[in-house]
Amino acid sequence: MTLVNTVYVILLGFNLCILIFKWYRHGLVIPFKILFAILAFAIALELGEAMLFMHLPNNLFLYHIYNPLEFTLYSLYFINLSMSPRINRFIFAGMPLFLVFSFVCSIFIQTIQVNNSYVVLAESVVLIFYGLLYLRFINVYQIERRAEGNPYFWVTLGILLYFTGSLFIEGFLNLLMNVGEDVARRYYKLGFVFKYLMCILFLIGILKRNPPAST
Amino acid sequence: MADIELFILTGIIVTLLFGAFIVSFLLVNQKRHFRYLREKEDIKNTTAQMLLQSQLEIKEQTLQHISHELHDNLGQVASLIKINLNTLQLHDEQKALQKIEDTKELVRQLITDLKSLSVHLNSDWAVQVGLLRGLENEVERLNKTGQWQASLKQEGPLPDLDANTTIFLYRMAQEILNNTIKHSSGKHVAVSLCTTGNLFTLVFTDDGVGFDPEEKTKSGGSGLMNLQHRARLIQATLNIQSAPANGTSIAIELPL
Repeated sequence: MTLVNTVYVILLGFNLCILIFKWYRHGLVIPFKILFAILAFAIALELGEAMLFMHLPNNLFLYHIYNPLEFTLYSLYFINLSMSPRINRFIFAGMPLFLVFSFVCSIFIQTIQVNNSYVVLAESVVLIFYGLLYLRFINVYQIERRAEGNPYFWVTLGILLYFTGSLFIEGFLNLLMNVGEDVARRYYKLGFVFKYLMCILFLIGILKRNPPAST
Repeated sequence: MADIELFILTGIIVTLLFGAFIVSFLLVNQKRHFRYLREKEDIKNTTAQMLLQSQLEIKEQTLQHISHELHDNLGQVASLIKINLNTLQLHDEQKALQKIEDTKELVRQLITDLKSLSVHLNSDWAVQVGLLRGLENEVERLNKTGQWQASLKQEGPLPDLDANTTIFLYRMAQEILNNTIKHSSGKHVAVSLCTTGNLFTLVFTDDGVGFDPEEKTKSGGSGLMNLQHRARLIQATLNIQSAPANGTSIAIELPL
């Protein structure tokens, strides 16, 4: 495991520990339980990737499993923010569609031996869109509540940052590989800046007062 | 640098700038909203404070009015009754009977004045019977003095005013009529109530000596300032038209 990966795992683990502590002390609302699952799967991916790297030359198939799962969890997170029944139906409908899309991509377009950049691109675009929808929701319907005091605002900012990086770096990683492996590696490491920022923003959100269970 | 690298870097920067713009917009918009709410609350508090202050002023003026009435009117009549009873000569039956009759008349007047004062002071009464009846009573009171010829005219239906506005208008009317009695030296007073469209107008006109409103305002006439202040509190406007030797017309315009 490289240093950048290790730092990322530590940050994820720190967030996870605080969530466990809050869960034990005060209980967690559903969006935070989903966030807990997202962080746990991200750590599992990083560790699994590191372990498999020693035994298998290609561990990219992990991403073919992880990305649809990640998308599903983030979709569930946004559904539980209670934006509006119409938006929830829209997000809900997007989940099976994305699963079918990623499955088709993994079988026919970018097989499990190849980096699934199309799926990452689609996932990033859709989740950025959901994040922006939530910001709009705050601006229109939750104007009476200070955004800085809203934990989901910080978590959503983290999601937006992470998937912005993911969209351009992991989404175009295959093209970068064509330019050169060194270049691709450099950008891959740059992607960790976004992951760290996401962890910090998640941490701010997690440390905010536990919101009421209905929201 | 390869095209793809340039694309990725530009894309990241543009997207981040776009995101930063959206978040800033959200925060600024919220800040503006909170500032608006705070200002609204401040205005509400200031208005409530002014309303309270005005109500206290009205109470103070009412007490002053009671004091004057007791001293100048009721006290005089009571003194007269006492003098009549003290100087009652029982040995002269004819004179005694005359004095007793005079005293009975004075007691009747005293009772009437007391009732009139009670009605004049009671704000609840004005709310119960309505502004029109309250003004009729004031006009009747003026006519009874024998020094004034007062009239009341109503045009259009009377608007449905809330209790607070009714009390304010009634007290303003009383103050205007009292000022007329004190300062105008006229003979006729006309009060008119008019409702046209969304405007209710209450006009007081007299044929007295008049005054220069600008000069009065500059010299800090507290009576006029009070009236202006109270009018503002009920979102009404006060128009004063007067000139020396030309009488006075005061209009209270209340948007409905």
